[in-house]
Amino acid sequence: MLSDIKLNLLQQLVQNASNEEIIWTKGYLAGYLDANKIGNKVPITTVSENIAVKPLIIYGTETGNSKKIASQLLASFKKNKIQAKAVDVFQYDNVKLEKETLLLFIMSTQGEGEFPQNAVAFYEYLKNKDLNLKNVSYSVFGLGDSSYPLFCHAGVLLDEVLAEKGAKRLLPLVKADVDFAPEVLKWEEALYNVFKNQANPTSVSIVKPIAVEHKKNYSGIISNKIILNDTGSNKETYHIEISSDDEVNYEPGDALGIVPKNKVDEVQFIIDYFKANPKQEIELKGIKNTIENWLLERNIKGLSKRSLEQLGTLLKTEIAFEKADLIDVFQLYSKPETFQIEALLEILLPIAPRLYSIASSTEAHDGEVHLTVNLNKFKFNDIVKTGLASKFLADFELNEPIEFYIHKNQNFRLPSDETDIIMIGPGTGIAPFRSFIAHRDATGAEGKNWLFFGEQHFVLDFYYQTEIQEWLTTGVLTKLDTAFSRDQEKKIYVQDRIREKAKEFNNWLVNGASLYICGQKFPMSNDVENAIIEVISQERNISSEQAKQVLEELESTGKYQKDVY
Amino acid sequence: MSDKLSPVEYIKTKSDGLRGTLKESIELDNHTGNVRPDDETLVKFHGMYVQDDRDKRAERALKKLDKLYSFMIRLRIPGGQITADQWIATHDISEQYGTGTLKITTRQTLQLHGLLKHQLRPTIQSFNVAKLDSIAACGDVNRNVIVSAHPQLSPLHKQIHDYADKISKLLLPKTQSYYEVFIDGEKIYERSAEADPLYEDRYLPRKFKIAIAIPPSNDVDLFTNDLGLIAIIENNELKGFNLVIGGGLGTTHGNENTFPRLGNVIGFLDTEEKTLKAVYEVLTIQRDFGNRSDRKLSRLKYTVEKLTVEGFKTELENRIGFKLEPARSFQFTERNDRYGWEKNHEGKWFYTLFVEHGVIKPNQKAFLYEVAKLKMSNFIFSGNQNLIIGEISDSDKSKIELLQKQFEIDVAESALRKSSMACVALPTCPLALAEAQRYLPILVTKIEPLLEKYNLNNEEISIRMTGCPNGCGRPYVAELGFVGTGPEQYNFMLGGDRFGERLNKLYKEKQTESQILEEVDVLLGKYVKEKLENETFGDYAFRAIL
Repeated sequence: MLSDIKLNLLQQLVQNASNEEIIWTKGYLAGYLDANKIGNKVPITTVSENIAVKPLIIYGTETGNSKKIASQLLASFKKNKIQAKAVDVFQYDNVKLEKETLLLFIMSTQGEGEFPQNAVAFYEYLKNKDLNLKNVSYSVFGLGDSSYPLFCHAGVLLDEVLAEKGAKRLLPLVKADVDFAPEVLKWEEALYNVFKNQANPTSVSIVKPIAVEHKKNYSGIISNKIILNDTGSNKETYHIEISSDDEVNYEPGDALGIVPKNKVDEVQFIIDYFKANPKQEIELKGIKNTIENWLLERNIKGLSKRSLEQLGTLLKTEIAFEKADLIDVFQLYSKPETFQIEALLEILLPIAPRLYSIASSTEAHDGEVHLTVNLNKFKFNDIVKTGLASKFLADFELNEPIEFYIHKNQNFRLPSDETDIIMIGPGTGIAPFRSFIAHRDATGAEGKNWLFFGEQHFVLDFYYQTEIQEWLTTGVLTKLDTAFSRDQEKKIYVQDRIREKAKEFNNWLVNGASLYICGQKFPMSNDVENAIIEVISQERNISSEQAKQVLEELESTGKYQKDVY
Repeated sequence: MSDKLSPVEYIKTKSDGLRGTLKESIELDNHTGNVRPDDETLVKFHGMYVQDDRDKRAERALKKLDKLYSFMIRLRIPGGQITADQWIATHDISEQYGTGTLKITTRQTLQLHGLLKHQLRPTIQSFNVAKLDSIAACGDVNRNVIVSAHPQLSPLHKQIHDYADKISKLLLPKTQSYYEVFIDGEKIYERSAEADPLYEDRYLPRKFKIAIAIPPSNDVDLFTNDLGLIAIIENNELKGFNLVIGGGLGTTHGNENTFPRLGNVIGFLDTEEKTLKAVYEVLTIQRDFGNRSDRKLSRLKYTVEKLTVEGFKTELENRIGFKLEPARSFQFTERNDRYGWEKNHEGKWFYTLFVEHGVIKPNQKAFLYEVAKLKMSNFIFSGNQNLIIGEISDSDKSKIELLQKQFEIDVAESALRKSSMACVALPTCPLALAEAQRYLPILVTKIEPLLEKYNLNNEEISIRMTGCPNGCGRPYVAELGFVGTGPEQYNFMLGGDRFGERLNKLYKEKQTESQILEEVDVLLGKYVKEKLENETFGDYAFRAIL
């Protein structure tokens, strides 16, 4: 009844849940059905009387979402005369923990259920230190993406460890999915309720602290696949066109999600390692599948420290790597007699879906979904490896069926038609902007469009060059700035072009242009952001601290949006 | 044919001294590797052509990439001589920018290929530091002036050679836009200082080529130039020059109004002053009378045809204010280069390196770089696209010979190969209909066994190939001429003489390789059987076949 992807998600949810959680979820689902019959109501939060609590909001963030929620919450508290503070977990002074009374955590989850980089030290401290938090009340708002295994796992761990150390859980852990805004409102409302009934927190009930399914699944084919780089490039970036018999519903800014499968030869290697029968069926948590299929769909790449520890136990050895592919491990350690493939399958997590910003527009590209995928190549122990998902797509046979879903991204949207936009999209960061421009071209949106693009070499790596030329000719693209880093001795990047065009850049912003950045988070988006702050500070003759606030203001009003990875 | 000016004429007159929008093209147009359409014309006057790799067009179009535009830059080297330091600079520049290829042209200069638009300024700036420029190396102006290359030809070689520089300077456009656009970026001119009485604002109707020959060598193919000077030496003294006008080889397939033409000797000039004056006024006549509506009919040869040779001479004498003396006698007995080591009258050594079609091979390039670093020689390019390492003293000769061994330079090549010439053609030349530079070496390899078969290994039969009928490889003055008409198809031209004084004729149309080889086999077979004593292949074909 459920599609592969949905089933996959459900399995992940169930596998990673405690018994209590499963029971709770059962109740939740029943409640959800009932609630939907009545129709969803958005809670409106107003609290009139003064409340004598002083919450401290601690947020751990990787992409800025937690920080955004923290700011929103803080603003709401201020409006309601609650004296609250917010701090990045990175800047929090751990020594004060035992003296706190009310802590509100907003914690995102990265990769395989990991904490944001900035929050790791805090969690380690909390876990390993002998602390008594009996005076502390808390609530954790976890952020994550339900497409990934170990959904909101950092939030789960934090919630658990706080309770272990004697802190009092005010509200059940919230696990919010990518479309987190409604969850924030509910959490807020629940918090106000708790604050009002501080004496009797157990009477508080909160509805559905888990995400609603927002993903719709499709099946299609890859109908066209082109390497956009010319021969001689260091890059291998694919333009991929996916078509489907169904009408694929997406908007510019959305992403496409796929769950890649492992390569057949790697699966074979593992089967050979165990001398297993690939067709043998094995049941895991109530689901039967052949060994071959289990292995095709379990993650065997870049295993985390935790997975490697588990694997080490099975191999009766200590694995020296922090991160490694299963095959690398198997090549180094021979199989103990007792190690059976079932045990391996039990510790392997399902392959997480990967998201790619959509590079097309339903208005302009005939209902197709286009992607711009860089074949991720990296060195591990001096061996060149490729990313699982990008390799999966790069090698995918034309006209063979492929399953995918659309990942809505409400935080990366075109503004109203008449609003100007500045798009900064070096490398594959150009993808959503091809969608934006094509969309504006097809719909005749009047706002001006300024694109910044960069790569290594002009002649080899100018993605969508002829289309960009066409847009310049027809005028839909108002301005183009390019930076090809390796075409001259001194490397030039998009941020250098932004600085060169400081005056005009600032003028566009002053005149209400919306600002977009897409592409690599490190170092690109940080460098670009710093350049923009510099430009604003210089052109408006204000301090860089003030310029930063200008940018934050733009961000909080949705006029500055990022899609970085 | 209408008298409406050709579009290029408007581009020139509107160009503000050949500036056009070149700065904008270079500085602002980041979406393309090309310059704007009018600037494509103007950039030629600064010594550059826009080209694109035609081999890659289809593939790049699929990749949503624009054509792979690049620029060819051609230096202005009157007489084709540079110093060792200049060679080192050129070598270094070619390694840093473009494809790394150095090509010697039929006009005694060097070309670099594959320069990207953003590399133009640094390239030209680097050349400028080495006291080299590319001004007027292409475009509707006087092009690089060429002179018989080998200093051994005459003790007066230096004296005659200096004329190349004098003429080049005399006929340079006055605009300073080259420096402004490519060197400083600053506006450095005052309009009045740039007044150009020769070119005015319209320049010439078409390119203009000047050559100076030192008999007995016609290595410059004198009669194929718009203007030629034949040095007349009597009793070891330069008496003056015979003046030759109206040569030119370019034609257009299917246009009967176009034709190759050899220049006419119209008189003799006995002093430097008179010579320079006459040269200058030939250009003003072409400026005033040349066809500016149809660029296919605008070379000087058509102007001479229009005015008649006598009429042209009268107009010239009116303009220079004196009568031309009757032409003196002269004789050409060679056209090929003197390969290998030769000594001149001062006892200096010269080594002529065979460079097939001017494309300097990697081992040759490495060798020449080492030679240049010794700083004991200069470098001379010949009109046959070869390179002479010159002015070497007796004591230094062995050092060069050592390097020759080290880089395996002195390889035996057949006489036919050493008498071959081809233009660039595919993949970069926009005019090319067929291969030339990439293919002629292969064809020669296939003809060599036939020469062996008829025992003609040492026969210096001139063989030339061009990818289109424009004649850059001078195929119309070859004994075996091949003019591209389409992919892998050539018009077979026959009956030219060995020294470039008689045009060949169309023998067979649209020949494929196998047809060519079959024909050559038959022709050579007949030649060895039927030739007169000392009769060259070209003369035989002219007498007996055509």
